[in-house]
Amino acid sequence: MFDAHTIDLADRRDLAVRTPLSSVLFALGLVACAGAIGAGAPRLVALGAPFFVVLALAAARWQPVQGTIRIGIDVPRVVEGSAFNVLVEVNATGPDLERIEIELSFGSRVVAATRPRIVAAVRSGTSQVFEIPVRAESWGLDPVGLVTIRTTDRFGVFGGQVKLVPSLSIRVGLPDERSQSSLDADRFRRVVGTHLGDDRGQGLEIADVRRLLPGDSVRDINWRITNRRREPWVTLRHPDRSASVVVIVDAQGSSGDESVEVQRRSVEAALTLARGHLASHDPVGLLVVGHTVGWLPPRLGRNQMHRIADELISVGVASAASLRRYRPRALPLIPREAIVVAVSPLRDPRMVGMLAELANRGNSVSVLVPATTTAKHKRRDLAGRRGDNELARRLAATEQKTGIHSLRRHSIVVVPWSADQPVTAVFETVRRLHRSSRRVGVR
Amino acid sequence: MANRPKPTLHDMAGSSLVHAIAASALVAIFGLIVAAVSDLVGGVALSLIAAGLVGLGALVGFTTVAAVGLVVFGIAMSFSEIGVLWLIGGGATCVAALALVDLSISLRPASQVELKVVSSTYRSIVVVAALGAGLGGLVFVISTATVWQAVVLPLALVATGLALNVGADSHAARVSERTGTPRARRRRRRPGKRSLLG
Repeated sequence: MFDAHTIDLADRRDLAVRTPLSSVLFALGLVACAGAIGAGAPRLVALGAPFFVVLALAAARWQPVQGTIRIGIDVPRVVEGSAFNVLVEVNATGPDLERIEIELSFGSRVVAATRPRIVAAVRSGTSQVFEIPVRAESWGLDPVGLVTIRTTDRFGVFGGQVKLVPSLSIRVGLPDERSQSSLDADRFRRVVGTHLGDDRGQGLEIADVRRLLPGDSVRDINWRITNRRREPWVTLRHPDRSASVVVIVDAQGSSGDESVEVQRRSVEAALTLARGHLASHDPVGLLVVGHTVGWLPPRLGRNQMHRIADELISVGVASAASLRRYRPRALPLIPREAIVVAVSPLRDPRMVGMLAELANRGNSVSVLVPATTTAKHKRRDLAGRRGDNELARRLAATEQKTGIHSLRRHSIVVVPWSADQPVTAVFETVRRLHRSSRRVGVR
Repeated sequence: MANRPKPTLHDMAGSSLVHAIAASALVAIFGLIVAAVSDLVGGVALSLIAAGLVGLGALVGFTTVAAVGLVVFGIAMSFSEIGVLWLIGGGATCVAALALVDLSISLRPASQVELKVVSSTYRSIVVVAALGAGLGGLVFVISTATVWQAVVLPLALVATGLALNVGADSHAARVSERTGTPRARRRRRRPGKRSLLG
């Protein structure tokens, strides 16, 4: 997570110009001299002499600015609600930086405790690190928007200002306790079935060894025993009990508060699912539908958890142009034996169609439909004032109902998930529905 | 990066306002003293107007506004028929006020400030005031010792212009040599935004 961005100050023409103060000093000096000549009073030169002294001293002492500025953070990982410091390291590789002003601006997800503006002086050949205390308000990717750097000499006569947009972003993740408290892995293992792999591929656990029989694969030959016994023997293994799980997150494209909350809950659920399955040694993949690059093939391990978390962070900052790319190329790459859990408000028929296609291919598909409570109040408040929005919401609700009916016809378990309902209860419902559907022989 | 000792920054809330008031007060106090020792009619009013403009310039962040105030202050000084020592003090006051205005603009509200910046600016103000006073006195002595209207001032103006031109050229050459960048053409595209790097 430590992501430092370096800004080189050397050879920047904008930092080597005359400041307005120099023009003012020069003008005042000239006015004093002109007044002295015009009035024929040499004593008036005494008024303007200090201005020329400042200009002369500044010009004599001026040297081009040389140095670097590094911007980073002091923690490896930022989670929502945490306080951390943005570090600004100023390195004066050339002459003294007699007065340097650095101002940062952040997005809406990170809020500075004080105004993120530093006025400092750095001696030649040294570097100093300044801390700007900030707080992560909400999850997502927060770009450091604009860095304004102003340097002047000690008289304020020569210097300049540059404004840069660094390629630095702060990734704010969801806190661990939130995603861990919702669900424990063992309970979750029952949610989407028994986790017995549908395929008959061989696992890692050795069951027995025996002589090679017709039909055995050459890959199973145990060469050590074969050499010892002078005849081909094969290793038998238990079938792998792990099943791949693919979590599909629907990244809605609208920018309203309701959509943001739905996205947030979708990401929380997806993180919980991924964490639980990875802890149970199930390969977990992620498909973010509606985002440009949103496919992570099923894999095991902690790194996969970090990859999934990083991918989910970018869900909230997808630009509008990159959204609404349903039926992504990764869809055929989802293993047929994988268990698919989708978290989606089901407001787009293309999402519904994609899930139906997965069910038709033979994947076990479950869908969580997150809803918001705050949205209901807001809907009520806004109903009288904004008729068009209300109409659009009703249309979306109708599409959602149609989608749910359509998915249930494909034997897909669809469970609404209200905001005040813990995710564990939702998964219990999913499990119960899975069992009942098996009993009636639907699937 | 994180292991190095971190310098102390001070949340100098209100220091911008303090320096603005200080610049304004400096001009006002000196102007009032001069008005008290001279018989200029309206000297007090001019001084207060000048002080107000200086303070306003510092608060709004425009040095030019403060400069207008200093011009008014200079006019008051000029018509006060005071001695050259007072004028030397007035020049030093003007420069100190401008430096304080610039510092006030730098120390905008809620900035984290290293005290070194403020102390070095104070030192610079003292040095410049002293050197300016010395130079003003020297110029006055020379000018009173000669027929300055006819000889010294025109020559001084021409010499100043030439010195500035030569100094600028040598400065640009030095910059070009140090930074390795070619010297820019003399015609500038953006007046007032010319880079010292050529």
